[in-house]
Amino acid sequence: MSIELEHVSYIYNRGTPAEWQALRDVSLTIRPGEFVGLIGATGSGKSTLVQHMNGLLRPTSGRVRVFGMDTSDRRTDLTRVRQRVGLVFQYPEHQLFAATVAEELAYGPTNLGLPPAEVQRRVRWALRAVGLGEELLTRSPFSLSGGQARRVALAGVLAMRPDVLVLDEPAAGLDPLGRREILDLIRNLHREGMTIVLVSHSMEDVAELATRVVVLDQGRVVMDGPPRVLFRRHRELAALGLAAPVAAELVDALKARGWPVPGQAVTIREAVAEVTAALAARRQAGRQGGGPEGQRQGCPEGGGPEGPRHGCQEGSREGGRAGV
Amino acid sequence: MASRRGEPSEPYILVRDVTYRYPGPPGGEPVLALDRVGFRVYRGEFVAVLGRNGSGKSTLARLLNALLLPQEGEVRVDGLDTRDPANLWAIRDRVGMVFQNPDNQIVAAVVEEDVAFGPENQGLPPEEIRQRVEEALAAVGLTPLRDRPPHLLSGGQKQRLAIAGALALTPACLVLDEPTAMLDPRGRAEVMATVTRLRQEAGVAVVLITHFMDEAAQADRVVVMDRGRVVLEGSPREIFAQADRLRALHLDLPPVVALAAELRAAGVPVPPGILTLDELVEALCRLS
Repeated sequence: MSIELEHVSYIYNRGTPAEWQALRDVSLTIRPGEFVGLIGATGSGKSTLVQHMNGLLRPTSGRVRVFGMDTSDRRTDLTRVRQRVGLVFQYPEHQLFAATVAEELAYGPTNLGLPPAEVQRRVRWALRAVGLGEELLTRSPFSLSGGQARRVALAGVLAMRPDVLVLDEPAAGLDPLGRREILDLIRNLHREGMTIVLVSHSMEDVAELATRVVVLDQGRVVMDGPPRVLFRRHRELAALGLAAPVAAELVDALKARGWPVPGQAVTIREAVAEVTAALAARRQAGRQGGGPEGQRQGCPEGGGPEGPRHGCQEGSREGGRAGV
Repeated sequence: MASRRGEPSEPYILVRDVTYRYPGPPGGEPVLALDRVGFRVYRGEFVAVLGRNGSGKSTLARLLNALLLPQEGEVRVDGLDTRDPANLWAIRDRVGMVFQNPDNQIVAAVVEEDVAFGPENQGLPPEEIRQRVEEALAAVGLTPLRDRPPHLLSGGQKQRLAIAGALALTPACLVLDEPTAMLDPRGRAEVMATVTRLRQEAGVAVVLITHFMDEAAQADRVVVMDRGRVVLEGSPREIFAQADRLRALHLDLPPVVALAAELRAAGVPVPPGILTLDELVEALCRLS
């Protein structure tokens, strides 16, 4: 197992009037090769949780083991923990500090005590991995564009060659192109075998990328499962201040309106497939049953003036059977 | 100038032919951030400003309340020229700003004190201050957290606190520079509901700079910037009908519009101009 949290609780400012429990009895295992989307309302404990994953925070009670290393054990070398689990904070470019991009990227590997030649290899690999050219190596990190600076910060973590990459809102504040670039980059790292934990407020992004979704609420894990299953639980998500991806909302709305769709889609591609299949089935039925049948399968409330309600519900029942 | 004030046909904020350059690197050329930009905001209007990073959006925002002054052209707020130092505080009373990073805007040790900071500096009577703090906290949904120290708030709660601080000055126009970048869906919805309520109930004009296309879809008017210029302007329906143009400008479609576009590409005859999920469901249901 990559990261194991057992009954982890965390309390900020214990014993002061500002005492606040951010995590409550969280048990969670991150397995190698997973792509975990971590979602939850602001204040639900996501940032606190991810800081436990590389020993930046240690549990008030409970235990965190990272590749078997107990982060609360004084004998554990936290440098080794952080080498295995790279944590990319929100707005990581605010933490750039070195005079050049090369120095910035060399900082982590140098601190691991690696020989200079290996450090240089890693610097170049990390820069390539985030899609930046070597001409940037001599530039000041502060002269870069927002998207470039974000990628340099990410490269600084990648240069440690972690097994697990934990990213806290990596696309926040980027423009749509920068956002696509950084998400494609994360997708590629996962394909190359890196374990990913992605904190995101974008259900669309999580639906597209994650193999598993974990939902936090008031410091507890309240849902855990594949996106396809989890994003169907609209009402629960809404009650938690979250939303399902728009694709899931569409197919559910259509199903509620009597469309013969399975209602399983969570990505745009899947929703398009469900809609086109339903329309094709309807055309087929229309040809077989003649005009009135086709009209009956139209939608009720929004349909024509006579739009017979029972006709649509009939369509729904048929669709339900066909889809299951 | 007084004669121009208050006339409904006049824009409340008028940006005319403004050029702005930042100093370049030592020995280098200055960086052109705004290139002869024209822009206007009418009373009570909701304008969304889109554009990739570096397109000039934030520079434009800072010109609207005299944080930056035009190097060429002019900016007038309620008829007041922003280049006249005598107008500075009158302009800042009229146009409030909320920036992307609330940590730079929070000054007090307790939430409600932070909201009171602006009105207190204006020398308002205590009862008026209390009322404004109440309303501003309620508008952003922070009333239950009024006694919290701001540094213990989550990122999203801090953003809402920053908005409350600006609202407490009861501006006629609120300029929001990516205020929802770090909010969760509910927090974003609350901010957008706040924006709507401010316009409807208080007639506050809103200039929203955002990378969220679905937020821009709620605006009265969308302005798209690129390389320091206004390159597209129109209603959300007009703007988001131009998918290819937006993509070329490194922008996206709102999720619902993108879904409608993909359906259209797959041969489903969905009509153009759809902005909301309800509209898309209705349109699909009308197909027979």
